[in-house]
Amino acid sequence: MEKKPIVKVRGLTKIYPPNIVALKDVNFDLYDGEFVCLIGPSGAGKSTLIRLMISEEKPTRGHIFVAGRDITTLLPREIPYYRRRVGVVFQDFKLLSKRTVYENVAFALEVSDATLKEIREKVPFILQIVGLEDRANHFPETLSGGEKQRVAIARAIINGPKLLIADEPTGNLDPKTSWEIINLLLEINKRGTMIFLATHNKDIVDKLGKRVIVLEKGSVISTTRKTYYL
Amino acid sequence: MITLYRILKFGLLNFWRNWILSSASVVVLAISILVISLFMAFNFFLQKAIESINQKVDVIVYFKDKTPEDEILDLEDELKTLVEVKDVEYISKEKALEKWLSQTENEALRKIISEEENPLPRSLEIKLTSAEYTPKIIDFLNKEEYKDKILKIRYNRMVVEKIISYSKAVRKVGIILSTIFVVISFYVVLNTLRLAIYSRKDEIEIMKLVGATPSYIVMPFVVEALIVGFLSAVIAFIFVIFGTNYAIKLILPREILEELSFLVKGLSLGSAKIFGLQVLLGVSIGVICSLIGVKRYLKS
Repeated sequence: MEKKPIVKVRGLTKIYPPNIVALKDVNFDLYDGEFVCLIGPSGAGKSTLIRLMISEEKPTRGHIFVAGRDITTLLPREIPYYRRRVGVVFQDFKLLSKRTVYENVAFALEVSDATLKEIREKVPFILQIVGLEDRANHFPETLSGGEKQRVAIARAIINGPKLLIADEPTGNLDPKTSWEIINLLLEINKRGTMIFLATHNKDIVDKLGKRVIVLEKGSVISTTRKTYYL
Repeated sequence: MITLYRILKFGLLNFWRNWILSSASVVVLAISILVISLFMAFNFFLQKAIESINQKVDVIVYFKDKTPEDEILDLEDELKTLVEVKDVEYISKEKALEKWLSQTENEALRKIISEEENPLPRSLEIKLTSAEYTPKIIDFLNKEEYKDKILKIRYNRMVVEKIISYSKAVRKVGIILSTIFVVISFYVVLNTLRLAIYSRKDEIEIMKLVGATPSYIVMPFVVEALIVGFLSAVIAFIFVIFGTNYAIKLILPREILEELSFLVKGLSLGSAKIFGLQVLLGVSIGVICSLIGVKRYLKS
Protein backbone atom coordinates (compact mmCIF):
# COMPACT_ATOMS: atom_id res chain seq x y z
CA MET A 1 0.00 0.00 0.00
CA GLU A 2 1.55 3.29 -1.13
CA LYS A 3 1.19 6.09 1.48
CA LYS A 4 1.74 9.78 0.84
CA PRO A 5 4.96 11.33 2.20
CA ILE A 6 4.64 13.66 5.19
CA VAL A 7 8.31 14.68 4.97
CA LYS A 8 10.06 15.41 1.69
CA VAL A 9 13.73 16.35 1.80
CA ARG A 10 15.06 17.77 -1.45
CA GLY A 11 18.63 18.74 -2.35
CA LEU A 12 19.45 19.54 1.28
CA THR A 13 22.94 20.95 1.73
CA LYS A 14 24.49 22.49 4.82
CA ILE A 15 27.92 24.08 4.70
CA TYR A 16 29.38 25.56 7.90
CA PRO A 17 31.82 28.40 7.35
CA PRO A 18 34.43 28.37 6.04
CA ASN A 19 33.90 25.18 4.05
CA ILE A 20 32.86 22.26 6.26
CA VAL A 21 30.26 20.29 4.33
CA ALA A 22 27.92 18.69 6.88
CA LEU A 23 25.21 17.63 4.41
CA LYS A 24 25.55 17.26 0.66
CA ASP A 25 22.48 17.15 -1.61
CA VAL A 26 20.36 14.94 0.67
CA ASN A 27 17.08 13.58 -0.71
CA PHE A 28 14.55 11.25 0.92
CA ASP A 29 10.87 10.85 1.76
CA LEU A 30 9.20 9.80 5.03
CA TYR A 31 5.71 8.37 4.77
CA ASP A 32 2.75 8.74 7.06
CA GLY A 33 2.73 6.14 9.84
CA GLU A 34 6.20 4.82 9.03
CA PHE A 35 8.99 3.90 11.49
CA VAL A 36 12.32 4.89 9.91
CA CYS A 37 15.83 4.64 11.33
CA LEU A 38 18.55 7.15 10.45
CA ILE A 39 21.98 5.61 10.83
CA GLY A 40 25.54 6.55 10.08
CA PRO A 41 28.89 6.91 11.83
CA SER A 42 29.63 9.85 14.10
CA GLY A 43 30.13 12.99 12.07
CA ALA A 44 28.03 11.71 9.18
CA GLY A 45 25.58 14.58 9.57
CA LYS A 46 22.75 12.98 11.55
CA SER A 47 22.57 15.73 14.14
CA THR A 48 22.78 18.46 11.50
CA LEU A 49 19.93 16.86 9.59
CA ILE A 50 17.78 16.77 12.73
CA ARG A 51 18.60 20.37 13.63
CA LEU A 52 17.46 21.37 10.16
CA MET A 53 14.29 19.29 10.49
CA ILE A 54 13.25 21.06 13.70
CA SER A 55 14.19 24.42 12.19
CA GLU A 56 16.97 25.13 14.68
CA GLU A 57 19.16 26.02 11.73
CA LYS A 58 18.62 26.99 8.11
CA PRO A 59 20.15 24.94 5.28
CA THR A 60 22.64 26.45 2.86
CA ARG A 61 20.59 25.05 -0.03
CA GLY A 62 17.61 22.76 -0.50
CA HIS A 63 14.20 22.29 1.06
CA ILE A 64 12.38 20.28 3.72
CA PHE A 65 8.63 19.94 3.21
CA VAL A 66 6.65 18.87 6.26
CA ALA A 67 2.96 18.23 5.52
CA GLY A 68 3.39 20.24 2.33
CA ARG A 69 4.95 23.33 3.97
CA ASP A 70 8.57 24.23 3.23
CA ILE A 71 9.99 24.69 6.74
CA THR A 72 13.24 26.20 5.46
CA THR A 73 11.31 29.38 4.69
CA LEU A 74 9.60 29.71 8.09
CA LEU A 75 9.73 33.17 9.64
CA PRO A 76 11.20 33.37 13.16
CA ARG A 77 7.76 34.01 14.63
CA GLU A 78 6.34 30.96 12.84
CA ILE A 79 8.94 28.54 14.20
CA PRO A 80 7.35 28.07 17.67
CA TYR A 81 4.07 27.06 16.02
CA TYR A 82 5.85 24.57 13.73
CA ARG A 83 7.65 22.99 16.70
CA ARG A 84 4.40 22.39 18.52
CA ARG A 85 3.33 20.11 15.68
CA VAL A 86 6.53 18.03 15.65
CA GLY A 87 7.63 15.95 18.64
CA VAL A 88 11.36 15.80 19.40
CA VAL A 89 13.29 13.58 21.80
CA PHE A 90 17.01 14.01 22.54
CA GLN A 91 19.81 11.88 23.89
CA ASP A 92 20.19 14.23 26.90
CA PHE A 93 16.40 14.36 27.55
CA LYS A 94 16.32 18.18 27.83
CA LEU A 95 13.89 18.29 30.74
CA LEU A 96 13.21 21.38 32.80
CA SER A 97 15.05 20.52 36.01
CA LYS A 98 13.04 22.87 38.21
CA ARG A 99 9.73 21.35 37.20
CA THR A 100 8.08 18.11 38.12
CA VAL A 101 7.34 15.31 35.66
CA TYR A 102 3.74 16.49 35.43
CA GLU A 103 4.79 20.10 34.86
CA ASN A 104 7.35 19.15 32.23
CA VAL A 105 4.72 17.33 30.22
CA ALA A 106 2.07 19.97 30.84
CA PHE A 107 4.51 22.64 29.69
CA ALA A 108 4.27 21.55 26.06
CA LEU A 109 0.50 21.99 26.30
CA GLU A 110 0.70 25.29 28.13
CA VAL A 111 2.83 26.95 25.49
CA SER A 112 0.21 26.02 22.91
CA ASP A 113 -2.49 27.81 24.93
CA ALA A 114 -4.31 24.66 26.03
CA THR A 115 -7.03 25.10 28.63
CA LEU A 116 -6.63 23.87 32.20
CA LYS A 117 -9.30 21.25 31.50
CA GLU A 118 -7.36 19.88 28.54
CA ILE A 119 -4.18 19.72 30.61
CA ARG A 120 -5.91 17.90 33.47
CA GLU A 121 -7.28 15.35 31.06
CA LYS A 122 -4.33 14.84 28.72
CA VAL A 123 -1.32 14.83 31.03
CA PRO A 124 -2.36 11.88 33.24
CA PHE A 125 -3.44 9.98 30.13
CA ILE A 126 -0.07 10.45 28.40
CA LEU A 127 1.83 9.68 31.61
CA GLN A 128 -0.09 6.41 31.74
CA ILE A 129 0.94 5.57 28.16
CA VAL A 130 4.63 6.04 29.02
CA GLY A 131 4.14 4.27 32.37
CA LEU A 132 4.98 7.14 34.70
CA GLU A 133 1.63 7.86 36.33
CA ASP A 134 3.10 7.26 39.80
CA ARG A 135 6.05 9.61 39.15
CA ALA A 136 3.99 12.68 38.29
CA ASN A 137 5.21 14.79 41.21
CA HIS A 138 8.85 13.82 41.07
CA PHE A 139 11.58 16.14 39.85
CA PRO A 140 13.77 14.93 36.96
CA GLU A 141 16.89 14.55 39.12
CA THR A 142 15.19 11.80 41.13
CA LEU A 143 14.42 9.73 38.02
CA SER A 144 16.47 7.07 36.24
CA GLY A 145 17.69 7.67 32.68
CA GLY A 146 14.95 5.52 31.20
CA GLU A 147 12.31 7.36 33.21
CA LYS A 148 13.67 10.72 32.10
CA GLN A 149 13.46 9.64 28.48
CA ARG A 150 9.87 8.54 29.04
CA VAL A 151 9.05 12.00 30.34
CA ALA A 152 10.67 13.50 27.24
CA ILE A 153 8.64 11.19 25.02
CA ALA A 154 5.44 12.04 26.89
CA ARG A 155 6.17 15.73 26.34
CA ALA A 156 6.93 15.13 22.66
CA ILE A 157 3.66 13.33 21.92
CA ILE A 158 1.23 15.27 24.08
CA ASN A 159 0.32 17.68 21.29
CA GLY A 160 -0.55 14.68 19.08
CA PRO A 161 2.15 15.22 16.44
CA LYS A 162 2.12 13.39 13.11
CA LEU A 163 5.92 13.16 13.29
CA LEU A 164 8.18 12.24 16.22
CA ILE A 165 11.91 12.83 15.74
CA ALA A 166 14.16 10.94 18.15
CA ASP A 167 17.85 11.89 18.17
CA GLU A 168 19.82 9.02 19.78
CA PRO A 169 17.14 8.53 22.46
CA THR A 170 18.93 5.44 23.81
CA GLY A 171 22.43 6.90 23.69
CA ASN A 172 22.68 7.28 27.47
CA LEU A 173 20.78 4.12 28.42
CA ASP A 174 21.71 0.51 29.15
CA PRO A 175 20.55 -2.17 26.65
CA LYS A 176 17.53 -3.31 28.67
CA THR A 177 16.27 0.24 29.25
CA SER A 178 17.01 1.07 25.62
CA TRP A 179 14.65 -1.66 24.49
CA GLU A 180 11.95 -0.40 26.82
CA ILE A 181 12.24 2.99 25.15
CA ILE A 182 12.23 1.46 21.64
CA ASN A 183 9.15 -0.57 22.53
CA LEU A 184 7.46 2.61 23.74
CA LEU A 185 8.31 4.27 20.40
CA LEU A 186 6.87 1.24 18.57
CA GLU A 187 3.72 1.55 20.64
CA ILE A 188 3.42 5.24 19.76
CA ASN A 189 4.04 4.34 16.11
CA LYS A 190 1.14 1.91 16.25
CA ARG A 191 -1.10 4.72 17.44
CA GLY A 192 -0.39 6.48 14.15
CA THR A 193 2.65 8.73 14.75
CA MET A 194 5.50 8.56 12.24
CA ILE A 195 8.80 7.86 14.04
CA PHE A 196 12.15 9.07 12.71
CA LEU A 197 14.82 7.46 14.89
CA ALA A 198 18.47 8.51 14.60
CA THR A 199 20.75 5.97 16.24
CA HIS A 200 23.98 4.09 15.90
CA ASN A 201 22.86 1.13 17.92
CA LYS A 202 23.34 -1.72 15.46
CA ASP A 203 21.50 -4.21 17.64
CA ILE A 204 18.36 -2.09 17.74
CA VAL A 205 18.35 -1.34 14.01
CA ASP A 206 18.85 -4.99 13.04
CA LYS A 207 16.22 -6.34 15.43
CA LEU A 208 13.68 -3.68 14.47
CA GLY A 209 13.85 -4.60 10.79
CA LYS A 210 12.42 -1.23 9.77
CA ARG A 211 13.42 0.91 6.78
CA VAL A 212 16.84 2.50 7.23
CA ILE A 213 18.27 5.71 5.78
CA VAL A 214 22.08 5.59 5.79
CA LEU A 215 24.10 8.79 5.98
CA GLU A 216 27.81 8.79 5.27
CA LYS A 217 30.04 11.85 5.03
CA GLY A 218 26.99 14.06 4.58
CA SER A 219 25.39 12.05 1.79
CA VAL A 220 22.54 9.54 1.78
CA ILE A 221 23.91 6.26 0.47
CA SER A 222 20.76 4.18 0.92
CA THR A 223 17.09 4.73 1.73
CA THR A 224 15.80 1.20 1.36
CA ARG A 225 17.86 -1.10 3.59
CA LYS A 226 16.37 -2.84 6.59
CA THR A 227 19.56 -3.58 8.54
CA TYR A 228 22.61 -1.70 9.82
CA TYR A 229 24.98 -3.48 7.44
CA LEU A 230 24.23 -5.13 4.16
CA MET B 1 -6.19 35.33 30.56
CA ILE B 2 -4.94 31.76 30.90
CA THR B 3 -1.59 32.92 29.50
CA LEU B 4 -1.37 35.71 32.07
CA TYR B 5 -2.13 33.22 34.84
CA ARG B 6 0.62 30.90 33.60
CA ILE B 7 3.14 33.71 33.27
CA LEU B 8 2.46 34.82 36.86
CA LYS B 9 2.54 31.25 38.11
CA PHE B 10 5.85 30.46 36.44
CA GLY B 11 7.37 33.75 37.53
CA LEU B 12 6.54 32.92 41.14
CA LEU B 13 7.58 29.28 40.80
CA ASN B 14 10.90 30.22 39.23
CA PHE B 15 11.58 32.76 41.93
CA TRP B 16 10.84 30.17 44.60
CA ARG B 17 12.70 27.23 43.10
CA ASN B 18 15.81 29.31 42.25
CA TRP B 19 15.80 30.83 45.71
CA ILE B 20 19.57 31.04 46.07
CA LEU B 21 20.08 33.20 42.99
CA SER B 22 16.81 35.00 43.65
CA SER B 23 17.92 36.01 47.12
CA ALA B 24 21.36 36.98 45.82
CA SER B 25 19.68 39.31 43.33
CA VAL B 26 17.42 40.69 46.06
CA VAL B 27 20.36 41.38 48.37
CA VAL B 28 22.44 43.13 45.71
CA LEU B 29 19.51 45.21 44.54
CA ALA B 30 18.49 46.02 48.12
CA ILE B 31 22.00 47.27 48.90
CA SER B 32 21.98 49.43 45.80
CA ILE B 33 18.59 50.90 46.64
CA LEU B 34 19.70 51.41 50.22
CA VAL B 35 22.80 53.35 49.18
CA ILE B 36 20.81 55.50 46.80
CA SER B 37 18.10 56.13 49.39
CA LEU B 38 20.65 57.02 52.02
CA PHE B 39 21.95 59.71 49.72
CA MET B 40 18.40 60.84 49.14
CA ALA B 41 17.72 60.87 52.88
CA PHE B 42 20.97 62.70 53.52
CA ASN B 43 20.07 65.32 50.94
CA PHE B 44 16.63 65.64 52.50
CA PHE B 45 18.15 65.97 55.95
CA LEU B 46 20.61 68.58 54.81
CA GLN B 47 18.00 70.58 52.99
CA LYS B 48 15.80 70.57 56.08
CA ALA B 49 18.76 71.60 58.23
CA ILE B 50 19.53 74.50 55.93
CA GLU B 51 15.89 75.49 55.92
CA SER B 52 15.74 75.40 59.70
CA ILE B 53 18.84 77.54 59.99
CA ASN B 54 17.27 79.94 57.54
CA GLN B 55 14.21 80.05 59.79
CA LYS B 56 16.31 81.44 62.59
CA VAL B 57 17.21 85.05 63.09
CA ASP B 58 20.25 85.78 61.03
CA VAL B 59 21.14 89.32 62.03
CA ILE B 60 20.28 91.37 65.11
CA VAL B 61 20.80 95.12 65.09
CA TYR B 62 20.91 96.83 68.50
CA PHE B 63 20.16 100.54 68.68
CA LYS B 64 21.57 103.24 70.92
CA ASP B 65 19.06 104.53 73.44
CA LYS B 66 19.20 108.02 71.95
CA THR B 67 17.97 106.90 68.54
CA PRO B 68 14.29 107.92 68.12
CA GLU B 69 11.83 105.07 67.77
CA ASP B 70 10.38 106.28 64.42
CA GLU B 71 13.83 106.13 62.83
CA ILE B 72 14.11 102.50 63.88
CA LEU B 73 10.68 101.82 62.43
CA ASP B 74 11.69 103.58 59.21
CA LEU B 75 14.70 101.31 58.94
CA GLU B 76 12.46 98.33 59.62
CA ASP B 77 10.23 99.34 56.70
CA GLU B 78 13.24 99.87 54.46
CA LEU B 79 14.69 96.47 55.33
CA LYS B 80 11.34 94.83 54.58
CA THR B 81 11.50 96.07 50.99
CA LEU B 82 14.73 94.16 50.35
CA VAL B 83 14.36 90.81 48.53
CA GLU B 84 17.02 89.23 50.68
CA VAL B 85 15.00 89.91 53.81
CA LYS B 86 12.25 87.54 54.77
CA ASP B 87 11.05 89.14 57.95
CA VAL B 88 11.95 91.90 60.40
CA GLU B 89 10.74 92.13 63.96
CA TYR B 90 11.06 95.16 66.18
CA ILE B 91 11.98 94.35 69.77
CA SER B 92 11.04 97.16 72.10
CA LYS B 93 12.57 97.62 75.54
CA GLU B 94 9.58 95.88 77.16
CA LYS B 95 9.81 92.94 74.82
CA ALA B 96 13.55 92.69 75.35
CA LEU B 97 12.96 92.52 79.08
CA GLU B 98 10.29 89.91 78.67
CA LYS B 99 12.65 87.81 76.59
CA TRP B 100 15.50 88.28 79.00
CA LEU B 101 13.39 87.24 81.97
CA SER B 102 12.14 84.16 80.18
CA GLN B 103 15.70 83.10 79.41
CA THR B 104 17.24 83.86 82.80
CA GLU B 105 16.64 81.67 85.79
CA ASN B 106 19.14 83.12 88.21
CA GLU B 107 17.16 85.15 90.81
CA ALA B 108 19.97 87.60 91.52
CA LEU B 109 20.37 88.38 87.85
CA ARG B 110 16.61 88.71 87.40
CA LYS B 111 16.49 91.40 90.08
CA ILE B 112 19.14 93.57 88.42
CA ILE B 113 16.80 94.63 85.67
CA SER B 114 13.29 95.93 86.23
CA GLU B 115 10.84 97.89 84.11
CA GLU B 116 12.02 101.15 85.61
CA GLU B 117 15.69 100.34 85.33
CA ASN B 118 16.02 98.71 81.90
CA PRO B 119 19.41 98.91 80.18
CA LEU B 120 18.45 96.45 77.46
CA PRO B 121 18.72 98.05 74.03
CA ARG B 122 15.96 98.02 71.40
CA SER B 123 16.68 95.92 68.39
CA LEU B 124 15.55 94.68 64.98
CA GLU B 125 15.69 90.93 64.44
CA ILE B 126 16.19 90.23 60.76
CA LYS B 127 15.41 86.92 59.10
CA LEU B 128 16.88 86.42 55.67
CA THR B 129 15.52 84.33 52.81
CA SER B 130 18.87 82.58 52.76
CA ALA B 131 21.85 82.68 55.06
CA GLU B 132 24.08 83.44 52.10
CA TYR B 133 22.76 87.02 52.02
CA THR B 134 24.19 87.83 55.46
CA PRO B 135 27.27 89.72 54.17
CA LYS B 136 25.04 91.84 51.92
CA ILE B 137 22.81 92.91 54.78
CA ILE B 138 25.81 93.63 56.99
CA ASP B 139 27.18 95.94 54.29
CA PHE B 140 23.80 97.63 54.05
CA LEU B 141 23.67 98.29 57.81
CA ASN B 142 27.28 99.48 57.95
CA LYS B 143 26.41 102.51 55.83
CA GLU B 144 27.59 105.95 57.13
CA GLU B 145 24.04 107.21 57.83
CA TYR B 146 23.34 104.49 60.41
CA LYS B 147 26.72 104.72 62.14
CA ASP B 148 25.66 106.85 65.12
CA LYS B 149 22.27 105.19 65.54
CA ILE B 150 23.42 101.60 65.78
CA LEU B 151 24.95 100.24 68.93
CA LYS B 152 26.00 96.87 67.60
CA ILE B 153 25.33 94.38 64.81
CA ARG B 154 25.37 90.78 65.84
CA TYR B 155 25.67 87.76 63.65
CA ASN B 156 27.71 84.59 63.66
CA ARG B 157 30.01 85.02 60.72
CA MET B 158 31.79 81.66 61.12
CA VAL B 159 28.62 79.66 61.22
CA VAL B 160 27.05 81.49 58.32
CA GLU B 161 30.03 81.15 56.08
CA LYS B 162 30.47 77.49 56.92
CA ILE B 163 26.87 76.66 56.25
CA ILE B 164 27.00 78.38 52.90
CA SER B 165 30.09 76.58 51.73
CA TYR B 166 29.03 73.22 53.17
CA SER B 167 25.57 73.21 51.72
CA LYS B 168 26.85 73.95 48.23
CA ALA B 169 29.64 71.38 48.38
CA VAL B 170 27.57 68.66 50.01
CA ARG B 171 24.80 69.00 47.49
CA LYS B 172 27.25 68.76 44.61
CA VAL B 173 29.04 65.74 46.08
CA GLY B 174 25.69 64.11 46.87
CA ILE B 175 24.48 64.43 43.31
CA ILE B 176 27.74 63.11 41.86
CA LEU B 177 27.93 60.18 44.30
CA SER B 178 24.26 59.30 43.77
CA THR B 179 24.78 59.20 40.03
CA ILE B 180 27.88 57.04 40.38
CA PHE B 181 26.01 54.67 42.68
CA VAL B 182 23.05 54.38 40.33
CA VAL B 183 25.45 53.41 37.54
CA ILE B 184 27.42 50.96 39.71
CA SER B 185 24.31 49.31 41.14
CA PHE B 186 22.88 49.02 37.65
CA TYR B 187 25.96 47.09 36.53
CA VAL B 188 26.07 44.90 39.61
CA VAL B 189 22.38 44.03 39.36
CA LEU B 190 22.65 43.49 35.62
CA ASN B 191 25.46 41.02 36.14
CA THR B 192 23.76 39.22 39.01
CA LEU B 193 20.61 38.79 36.97
CA ARG B 194 22.67 37.81 33.94
CA LEU B 195 24.26 35.12 36.03
CA ALA B 196 20.82 34.00 37.18
CA ILE B 197 19.62 33.89 33.60
CA TYR B 198 22.82 32.26 32.34
CA SER B 199 22.34 29.43 34.82
CA ARG B 200 19.01 28.85 33.12
CA LYS B 201 20.04 29.10 29.49
CA ASP B 202 19.27 25.41 29.06
CA GLU B 203 15.79 26.07 30.30
CA ILE B 204 15.33 28.83 27.74
CA GLU B 205 16.70 26.49 25.07
CA ILE B 206 14.19 23.78 26.02
CA MET B 207 11.32 26.21 26.07
CA LYS B 208 12.19 27.23 22.53
CA LEU B 209 12.38 23.59 21.41
CA VAL B 210 8.96 22.81 22.82
CA GLY B 211 7.51 25.69 20.85
CA ALA B 212 7.22 28.50 23.37
CA THR B 213 6.99 31.96 21.80
CA PRO B 214 9.68 34.50 22.83
CA SER B 215 7.23 36.55 24.88
CA TYR B 216 6.08 33.44 26.71
CA ILE B 217 9.72 32.78 27.62
CA VAL B 218 10.53 36.35 28.63
CA MET B 219 7.47 37.26 30.68
CA PRO B 220 8.14 34.92 33.64
CA PHE B 221 11.61 36.45 33.90
CA VAL B 222 10.01 39.88 34.01
CA VAL B 223 7.61 38.71 36.72
CA GLU B 224 10.60 37.39 38.67
CA ALA B 225 12.38 40.71 38.25
CA LEU B 226 9.27 42.48 39.54
CA ILE B 227 9.27 40.29 42.64
CA VAL B 228 13.01 40.81 43.13
CA GLY B 229 12.64 44.57 42.69
CA PHE B 230 9.73 44.80 45.10
CA LEU B 231 11.34 42.69 47.82
CA SER B 232 14.58 44.65 47.55
CA ALA B 233 12.65 47.88 47.96
CA VAL B 234 10.90 46.53 51.06
CA ILE B 235 14.20 45.49 52.62
CA ALA B 236 15.89 48.78 51.74
CA PHE B 237 12.91 50.69 53.13
CA ILE B 238 13.03 48.88 56.48
CA PHE B 239 16.74 49.62 56.76
CA VAL B 240 16.35 53.26 55.80
CA ILE B 241 13.58 53.98 58.29
CA PHE B 242 14.97 52.08 61.26
CA GLY B 243 18.57 52.73 60.32
CA THR B 244 18.28 56.49 60.04
CA ASN B 245 16.23 56.80 63.21
CA TYR B 246 18.80 54.76 65.07
CA ALA B 247 21.72 56.59 63.53
CA ILE B 248 20.26 59.99 64.31
CA LYS B 249 19.70 59.02 67.94
CA LEU B 250 23.17 57.57 68.14
CA ILE B 251 25.04 60.47 66.61
CA LEU B 252 23.16 63.49 67.86
CA PRO B 253 22.95 64.46 71.53
CA ARG B 254 19.48 64.50 73.06
CA GLU B 255 19.14 68.30 73.23
CA ILE B 256 19.86 68.72 69.55
CA LEU B 257 17.65 65.77 68.76
CA GLU B 258 14.71 67.45 70.45
CA GLU B 259 15.33 70.57 68.47
CA LEU B 260 15.58 68.50 65.29
CA SER B 261 12.59 66.29 66.06
CA PHE B 262 10.73 67.86 63.16
CA LEU B 263 13.37 66.34 60.90
CA VAL B 264 12.70 62.83 62.14
CA LYS B 265 8.99 63.50 61.83
CA GLY B 266 9.48 64.83 58.33
CA LEU B 267 11.39 61.71 57.41
CA SER B 268 8.54 59.51 58.65
CA LEU B 269 5.96 61.63 56.87
CA GLY B 270 7.98 61.36 53.67
CA SER B 271 8.29 57.60 54.12
CA ALA B 272 5.43 56.73 51.76
CA LYS B 273 7.15 58.83 49.13
CA ILE B 274 10.52 57.22 49.90
CA PHE B 275 8.99 53.75 49.68
CA GLY B 276 7.31 54.57 46.38
CA LEU B 277 10.59 55.79 44.95
CA GLN B 278 12.42 52.71 46.18
CA VAL B 279 9.87 50.37 44.62
CA LEU B 280 10.04 52.29 41.38
CA LEU B 281 13.84 52.17 41.47
CA GLY B 282 14.00 48.47 42.34
CA VAL B 283 11.38 47.37 39.86
CA SER B 284 12.74 49.39 36.98
CA ILE B 285 16.37 48.38 37.54
CA GLY B 286 15.26 44.75 37.93
CA VAL B 287 13.07 44.65 34.84
CA ILE B 288 15.48 46.53 32.59
CA CYS B 289 18.38 44.30 33.65
CA SER B 290 16.43 41.06 33.21
CA LEU B 291 15.21 42.11 29.77
CA ILE B 292 18.78 42.89 28.72
CA GLY B 293 19.96 39.63 30.26
CA VAL B 294 17.41 37.34 28.67
CA LYS B 295 17.44 38.93 25.24
CA ARG B 296 20.69 37.38 24.07
CA TYR B 297 19.44 33.86 24.68
CA LEU B 298 16.33 34.35 22.64
CA LYS B 299 18.05 34.74 19.32
CA SER B 300 17.99 31.38 17.58
